[in-house]
Amino acid sequence: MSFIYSNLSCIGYVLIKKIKIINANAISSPLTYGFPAITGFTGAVHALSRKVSQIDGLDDVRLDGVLIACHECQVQTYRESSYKDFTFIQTRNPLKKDGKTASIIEEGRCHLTVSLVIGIYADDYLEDEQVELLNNKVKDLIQQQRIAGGSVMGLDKFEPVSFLEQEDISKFVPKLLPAFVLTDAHDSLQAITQQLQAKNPNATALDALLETATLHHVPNDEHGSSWSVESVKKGRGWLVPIPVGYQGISPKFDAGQMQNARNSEYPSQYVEAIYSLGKWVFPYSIEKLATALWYQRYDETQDLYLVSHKSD
Amino acid sequence: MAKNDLKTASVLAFERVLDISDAFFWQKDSQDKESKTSIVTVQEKSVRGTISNRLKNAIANNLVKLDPETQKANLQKVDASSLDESNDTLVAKFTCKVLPFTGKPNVCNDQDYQQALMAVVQDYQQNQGVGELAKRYATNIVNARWLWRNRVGAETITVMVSFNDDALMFNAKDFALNTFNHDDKDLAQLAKWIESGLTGEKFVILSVVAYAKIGYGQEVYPSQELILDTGNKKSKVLYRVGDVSKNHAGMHSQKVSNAIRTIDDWYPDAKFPIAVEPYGAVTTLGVAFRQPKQKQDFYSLFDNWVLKGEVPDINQQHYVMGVLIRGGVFGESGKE
Repeated sequence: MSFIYSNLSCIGYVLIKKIKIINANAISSPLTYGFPAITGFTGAVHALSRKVSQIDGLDDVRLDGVLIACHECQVQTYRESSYKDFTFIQTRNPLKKDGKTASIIEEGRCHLTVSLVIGIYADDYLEDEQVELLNNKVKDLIQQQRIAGGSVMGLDKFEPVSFLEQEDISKFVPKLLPAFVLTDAHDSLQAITQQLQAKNPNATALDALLETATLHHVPNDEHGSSWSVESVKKGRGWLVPIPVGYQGISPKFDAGQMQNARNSEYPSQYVEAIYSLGKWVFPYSIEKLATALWYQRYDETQDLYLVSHKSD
Repeated sequence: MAKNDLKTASVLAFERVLDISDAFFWQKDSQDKESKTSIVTVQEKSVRGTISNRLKNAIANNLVKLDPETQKANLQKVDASSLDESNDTLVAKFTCKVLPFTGKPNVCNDQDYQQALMAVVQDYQQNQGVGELAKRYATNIVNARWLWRNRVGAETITVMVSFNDDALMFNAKDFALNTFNHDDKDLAQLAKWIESGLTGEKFVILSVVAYAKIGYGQEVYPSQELILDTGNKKSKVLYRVGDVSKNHAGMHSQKVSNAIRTIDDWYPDAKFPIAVEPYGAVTTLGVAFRQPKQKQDFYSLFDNWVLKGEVPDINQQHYVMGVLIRGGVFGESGKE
């Protein structure tokens, strides 16, 4: 169940189909780029939840947990030719007050189309009118907010938002096609770490993570007349390094204490990103769709802010 | 807290209220009713240019040196985009989302300041309303200013704006670019839609299509990409929207929205409308029309209004609100 709303029970799921997002942030952490960070989506769901809970008739409804199915993601990059590095395409800023060109603040952007399955939490089952109200409000509200820094430019034409009760979640699978779902691949990371430790006992998870980004060119015989390419990723599916949350690196400051914090209403803390492995999976390959939802979790004793799948 | 103790928040940012999509370029034939719309593509060209830049005096005055200099091949690789020879009409589409304008900042780390700010915006909404701004945004949609260079030389331009099940048709050339005094029933209707979106009465997303008749095979002008460190392979890269392998030509959302918010003719000695920018900067002219020393720039007007309660005249109020609708980061770090 949800970590935030542990006192409420999950009564169903809402699918928001084919959300077109433009100019979303494509830099997911200091080390990874290409697809927005998962926290960009869990944050958007939390914002949506806050707005939904203010609607008459939906006061006790909360949203948490999000499955991210990506139909299309175009990173705004340029590559002079194959074998060259990719560079992000930048935007020109308005002139400064003296009419001179403003400096370019480098950023990475992407246009993407995603479907999201979001968990609905309430004390009680929803009436039919409530479900309809929820669908309509979610449809409008999601278009009025940002997701991962990008603007929402539209939803699926025919059935943008649909609701299913908790046990029927697998009926969403055909609606998610064609897309890939981002899931967590801790198991693969552990397996790779163990594989590396068999050769080198000092190997850590970080080595495993680096290993997934490495291609080994190995000669097939001692003369080196033919070579083959090996990677630990082989046979494990579509693995990608992803940030999965933040580790606090300073004491937590009370609200309003930290200088130039973005918000003075809440406590703040300096953090840095934590990495793990993720895996893109075709929806039909996921045994239980409910296990592919990402939840926000806060571990106070270790200062960890994590996104993870549900453990049960 | 007394009003005089208010300070601009060090972290203060507004989200854009008019959320505009990329414009997609399509094409069709105006002479053939049956003609299907197809995409406009971006193609790479390799051209042999001429030497046409100004030469150093020493070379220009010396015939012996000048001849070999001008005979050098100036080889270039550029992107270009044009209609097919069987099509004469550029069809450009984008959508414009109008979000509620409440004056609430996206982030603000000073609650007292935020309250003062929101009071100012609410006061504006009650006394002036957003009708004037809505009308100006509407005008810029229907006069097809957002086609930029594609507008120049077009024989006719029809703009169609649809919202839910309603649609309005405009002849873009009926609406002059330098005035906002047009009296038109449909324009007023469009302005109403935008106004109802700004006040949060309805959720408004407008879909805009322009049909510009510019001639068979004529060149069109998508946005140019800003690429750092390209080496010197290609000197101009145009914007490809969507699937890169299709080379579908398009215009950046930033460029379209700059045209839509070209409503500011309230700057000192105004001759033509410019885009709403904190310093009235116009990139193509390399000029900032609202210099801080004239105290007519956004920050001077805004700070005086929120912090000192000095209400600017009505036109400057529209301008300040226009900047907030545009969005941006306006915090004061204390180092200025």
